[in-house]
Amino acid sequence: MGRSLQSGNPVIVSSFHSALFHQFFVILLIGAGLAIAFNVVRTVQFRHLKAEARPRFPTTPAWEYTEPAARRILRTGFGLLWVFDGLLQIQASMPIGLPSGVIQPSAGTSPGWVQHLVSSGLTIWTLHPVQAATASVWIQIGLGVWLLVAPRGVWSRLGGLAGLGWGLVVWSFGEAFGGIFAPGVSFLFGAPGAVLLYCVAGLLVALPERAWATPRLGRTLSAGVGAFFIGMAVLQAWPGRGFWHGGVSVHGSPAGTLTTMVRQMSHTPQPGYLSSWVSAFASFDAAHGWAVNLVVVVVLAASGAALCTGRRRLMLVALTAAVVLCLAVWVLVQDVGFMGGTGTDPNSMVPLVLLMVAGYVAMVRLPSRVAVPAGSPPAQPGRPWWDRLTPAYLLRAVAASGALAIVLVGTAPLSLAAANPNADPIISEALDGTPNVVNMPAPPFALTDQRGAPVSLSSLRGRTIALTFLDPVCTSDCPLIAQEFKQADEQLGGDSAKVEFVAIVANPIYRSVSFTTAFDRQEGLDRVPNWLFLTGSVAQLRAIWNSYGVLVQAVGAGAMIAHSDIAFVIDQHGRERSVLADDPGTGGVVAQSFSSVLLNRIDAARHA
Amino acid sequence: MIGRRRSALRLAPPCLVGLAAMVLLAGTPAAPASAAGGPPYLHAPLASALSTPQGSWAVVAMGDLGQLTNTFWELFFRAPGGTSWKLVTPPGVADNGGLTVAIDASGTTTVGFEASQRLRSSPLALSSDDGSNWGPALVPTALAVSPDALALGSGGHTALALVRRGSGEVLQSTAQQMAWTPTPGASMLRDGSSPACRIDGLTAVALGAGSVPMVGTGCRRAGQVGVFVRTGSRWKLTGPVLHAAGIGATSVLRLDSSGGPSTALVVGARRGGAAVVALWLSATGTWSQSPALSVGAGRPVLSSAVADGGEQVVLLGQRPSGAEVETVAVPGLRWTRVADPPPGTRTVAPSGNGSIAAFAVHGSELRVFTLSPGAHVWALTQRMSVDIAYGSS
Repeated sequence: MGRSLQSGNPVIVSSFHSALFHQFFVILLIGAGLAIAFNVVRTVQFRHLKAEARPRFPTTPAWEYTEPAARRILRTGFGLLWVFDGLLQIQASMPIGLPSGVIQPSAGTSPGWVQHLVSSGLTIWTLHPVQAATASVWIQIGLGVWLLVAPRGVWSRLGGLAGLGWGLVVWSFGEAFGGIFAPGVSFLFGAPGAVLLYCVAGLLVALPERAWATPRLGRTLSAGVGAFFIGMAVLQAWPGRGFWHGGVSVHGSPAGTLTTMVRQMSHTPQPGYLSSWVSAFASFDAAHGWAVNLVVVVVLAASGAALCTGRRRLMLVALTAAVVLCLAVWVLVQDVGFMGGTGTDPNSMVPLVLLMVAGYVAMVRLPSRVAVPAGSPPAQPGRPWWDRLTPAYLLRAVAASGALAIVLVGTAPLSLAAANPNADPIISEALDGTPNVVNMPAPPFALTDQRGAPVSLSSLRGRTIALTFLDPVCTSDCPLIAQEFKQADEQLGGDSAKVEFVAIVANPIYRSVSFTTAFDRQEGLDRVPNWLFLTGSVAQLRAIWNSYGVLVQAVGAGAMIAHSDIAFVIDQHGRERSVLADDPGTGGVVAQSFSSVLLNRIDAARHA
Repeated sequence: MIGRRRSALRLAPPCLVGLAAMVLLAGTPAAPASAAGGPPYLHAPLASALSTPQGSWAVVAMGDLGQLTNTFWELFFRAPGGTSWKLVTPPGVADNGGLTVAIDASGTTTVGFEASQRLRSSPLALSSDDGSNWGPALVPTALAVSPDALALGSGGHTALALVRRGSGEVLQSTAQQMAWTPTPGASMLRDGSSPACRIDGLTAVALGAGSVPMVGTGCRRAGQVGVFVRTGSRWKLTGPVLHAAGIGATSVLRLDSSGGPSTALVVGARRGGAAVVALWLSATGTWSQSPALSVGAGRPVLSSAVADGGEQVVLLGQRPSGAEVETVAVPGLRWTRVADPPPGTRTVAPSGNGSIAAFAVHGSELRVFTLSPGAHVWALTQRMSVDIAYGSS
């Protein structure tokens, strides 16, 4: 009774891996199709050129200037990060563990409106965990590949925009806005959220390339990072937030904010050497918390101010100091981001370093003119496509299309699933097992319904029956199971008149009609015309419990009657067609998914 | 050089905006502020006991008391003159929400199951053989969380139930039928009615001499005790004004008539804390009052017991220094602090001949300690292991 779904549930994990494998196969097929298309285009191009007696592919570069170095740093750096994040999403615990282990804790201390927003996204994930988890894998790998293989032009800028869009989704729904609305926001703990930095990078990649032609963009980016550092320094220095205390008790906690956080990180599963480093830093901070915070505040404030000046030498020194600080924080405080718990990305320090470096490089290294290969004819406007399309451009376009296809392979199943308001039946099967398909006569019964009228199995002949056993004074599972029956009835729509939903009392003491009617009223079943809650004498009930193999027994003092959570689907000829466990777990989506399974079995029985 | 300076100045506004935003963020407290204490209206704890000439009943919370679903309330009975307590919890319903007990003059016992988790009605269990056998009944609405949410009249003809509708509603029934209907004159018991009391929620029901319905309430009017008696279809305020000085709003914690004369236990707001007063209704209709026992704010009363036909009231209180037991009896009308109870004590109960029983709980193990009159040491008199079905609900 009341079991909950664990993150390593083998049914869910197996389904997740199976879905990944199938989608990977689809991606391979798409890749093969694109390779064929690439060769077809090249063959057609070659034939056209040969017909014109010029059997050489065009080699004129498409761009006059090289890709700006800063943009290349962002594009490849964040491309690799997206791929890495996508690979992290393959962890077996993601489908069930991500909402409870990552998303809910992120939103836990945020204001109500943030929690409300996050919860709306969580609903989709928890209703369709396998589709959501596989979508996260392929979307992120696809975005990464897209940024890596499309260096220039519209394809590349679209890749940046796609990264920005997905990043905003993850930042708001997955990271609860990086916790910036929660108390205790700190640079050290990843504020303003790693994915917001991915969004900034995506936006920069999406800018027209002419934006990188002067040092202005680099100065603006560096100043933005500088302002952020100064703000974070102020937050870090603000009294009463627990960062100056080290190991001294604060706000009822046994130690200061940073020491407490680092100690927690050191206890998460991770390689031994990393745990010892983090643990050693926790001890150091406990002893010298004031000095540690002073260093952080000074480095942040000074490097922030230097980055705002736009003076290159000063900025280089500041950049070096900030990178050292970021790397130290990344290892000693953030546990390299993905080592502790259910890691989904390397946290904020690596993307922050990439942005800082890109800002500086954008100031000091401007794009240079591309050297045209000797003998290349100048590009002729108005020439047909086969005379303009270089093999390199074609390859990049095909590769970018492939990356987009990877993204779509992730989004399409999730979009289809999200349109379905019912939970995925895999959740119910993960908890209760697969329904048993049977074909045998259902044991007869003759009892009294909630209105006092006699009802028997034979009197219901001609209708499909969904049968279960409920305790009318049960405090936990039975109301949930009843709601699943009610929901299945609602989903039947016009066909509900052909189906009877039946419960038989599973309590030898509290079994009179007054209890069944009270239960119906409590659950809103008194308004469901094809709902029957049957009872009878203890002898009658015991005989039926035995014939259906339902265990009903009193357990310890003060506990409810223990009974099997089991349901049967009986066809219109009185034959059992399915036997289903209907333990609703702890409720919520686990319970909700049972109505989908029940509907499937009712449908199968009706058409058997 | 000039150009550089100008660019730095151009970049200053974003820096300042960011700085201002961070200053605003810094004002966010690192931890949410704790809730204010609130007025010292005390709800009567369900850990309670009742003693009548037919025997004594004690309601004790056992199991993992930190978790609602693993807290199981158990009912114990001690026969008159008996030396040991017997586990008599009615089977068939999860009682994680608590139990409430009512006894009529003939000894018929009715136990109400407080609605908990997803159950929104209150099953009842009735016994006429001191809990050896139980029969089922039902209040179709959740009983109020009060040890006196049920009352049985003498001869078992009338029953009252206080249920959780609005700020409390009284239902009545014949004890045989258990078909509940709203009590007449219910509108007179709504919040804010009765200028002399200014009712603030219903807290207890009882059936007094001649099965006259009685209701205990909270009163916003300072010092007024909210005890109402029904005459015909009207409810009349009969509770007195407390003698003790400095009492503000009051609330009736217990109201009991099962052992004989009506007994009330009232808590009143008092500067810096609260005060508890016990009251007895004489046959002539006048109330006797104990002195006010000062208790702390918050939830200082852990368990209450009405004993020996209503002539004795026993309180288990919580002080910063630990739990303590106070007892007051009609003769003398004085609160007496007795020896501190053993660790783990959850319920106190009268145990015959003026002695007191303390039920100390450690998971599923129960130890009963007894304090004889005048004694200074609690003696372990009984130990039992209760079969608790952890994780069953």
